[in-house]
Amino acid sequence: MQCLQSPVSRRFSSKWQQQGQEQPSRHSYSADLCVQGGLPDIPQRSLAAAPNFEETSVAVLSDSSLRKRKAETSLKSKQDLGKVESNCKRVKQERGGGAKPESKQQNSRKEASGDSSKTDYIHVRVRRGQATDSHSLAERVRRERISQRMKCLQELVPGCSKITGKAGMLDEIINYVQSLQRQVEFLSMKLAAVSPMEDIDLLSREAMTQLVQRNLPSRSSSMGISSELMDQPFLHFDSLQPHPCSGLNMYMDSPDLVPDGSSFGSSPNSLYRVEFQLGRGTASFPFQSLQGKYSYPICASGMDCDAWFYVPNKQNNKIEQFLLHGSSGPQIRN
Amino acid sequence: MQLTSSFKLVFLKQMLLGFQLSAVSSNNMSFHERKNAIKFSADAAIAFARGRTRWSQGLIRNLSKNEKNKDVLKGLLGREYDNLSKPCCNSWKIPRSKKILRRCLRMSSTRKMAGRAQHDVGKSILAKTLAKKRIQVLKKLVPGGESMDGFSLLDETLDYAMSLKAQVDGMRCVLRTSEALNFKAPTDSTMQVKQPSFVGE
Repeated sequence: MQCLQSPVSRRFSSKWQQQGQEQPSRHSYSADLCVQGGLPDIPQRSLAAAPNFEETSVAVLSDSSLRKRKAETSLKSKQDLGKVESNCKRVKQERGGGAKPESKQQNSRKEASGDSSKTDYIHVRVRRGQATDSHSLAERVRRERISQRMKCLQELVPGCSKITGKAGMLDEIINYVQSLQRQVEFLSMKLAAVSPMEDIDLLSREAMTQLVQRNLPSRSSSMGISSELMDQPFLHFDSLQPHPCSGLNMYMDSPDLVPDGSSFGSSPNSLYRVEFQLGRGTASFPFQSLQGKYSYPICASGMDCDAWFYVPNKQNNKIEQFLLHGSSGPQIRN
Repeated sequence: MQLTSSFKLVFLKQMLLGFQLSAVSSNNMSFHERKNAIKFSADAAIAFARGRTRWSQGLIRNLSKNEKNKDVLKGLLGREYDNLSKPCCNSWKIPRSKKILRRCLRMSSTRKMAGRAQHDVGKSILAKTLAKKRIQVLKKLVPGGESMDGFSLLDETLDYAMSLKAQVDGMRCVLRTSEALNFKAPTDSTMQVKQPSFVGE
């Protein structure tokens, strides 16, 4: 998981380095949550600053870590801490040893935490004026970790840069994952509807060349004619809904989330309505080809994929209701 | 995890192999069965391509619950099947005694209460419950998510979302090529398909 680990570790290391530079050792003290046996990582300078402080903090931590482990179930790091409580005592003895550069350890620890190995430690550097209470330390570490991951997820999920706050972000993530899953359902349905793939080799070859082509910057050419058709869904959809839906427009813009113009006809209205109706288990619905002359029925019995395009949560109800009530059912356009 | 093209290719290969193994192209399957078989091979392919992650193992576990799929799965994954069915990380639940847990919760809650103003408490509790609800929903969505805690759940969600995206892309690709192929060489099928008259990609 390079995407996650490298930015996290980089951010962390840069942060710690910054802090190290900003605050000379006299003013800062480090509180180790725990130390791996054999690797005394309390640097000498901070030792000189406040040895008593560290001892007490470590002792406090080792006691409270056990309690915390039981109290906060979602804190995985604390679980690992509790396991190697005994090693904390070794810290006091081995403090005389050399000090490793903190940033390197930070990186290695972050990577270790990614593997969820038993030696999962979090080295926290506390700034001056901040609480050294073990609880708040752990809280802060936890919060920072969560925020790191949230940032990564924000980059991944489209349209999440505006949303702040955990709950909203989680909402969007849930929506996104659900919509992706529905897309998979829908695509598998479509693949099943296509006449049987007789020549798998040819298919695989073509598909792979397609994939390679798509990765090239000449994406617009590969989309081909479908780009023309893509304009139509936007027009139709705009006329459909009275509510301004910035989120929806944004999602519709990305070609990934719009159905291929080649597969769907010029009547995306019926498509969307039909999509919503699918959840009700309608018997069949027509798809229109470009010419509008022929259609092929797809047996929708037993299918349970609802609307698959990704709509932000708040707008969902309005559009759904409008589309459901605004139409009597799947209509055939000529 | 980066969405490399090699990952996508591996996924594609595996999926098509899965199609072959589950005999999707034979005519004697009903539509529903075919759709399920396609989805099954797509999921297995994505789990295979990703390697050993929590969600991929959870996915394989879910897929192999159906007995008749198990053989197909084994054939598809080969020796990877054993790798993937072994739990890679400790998914134990820590045994906690209720008395101690209650005491700790009480202590932590009183500590938090003391530190905050009165009107903040309600908000924070509300925010926490909201977040908790959503985490529960997320746990149901991500395969194998029930045994994960907050952090790893977010990690796995990230990973899973990226793989899902790759899956969608791959399937769409296959769909497009199969339609293009069908268009080039129209065969009479049970369904009356009139292909759109434009040159595809």
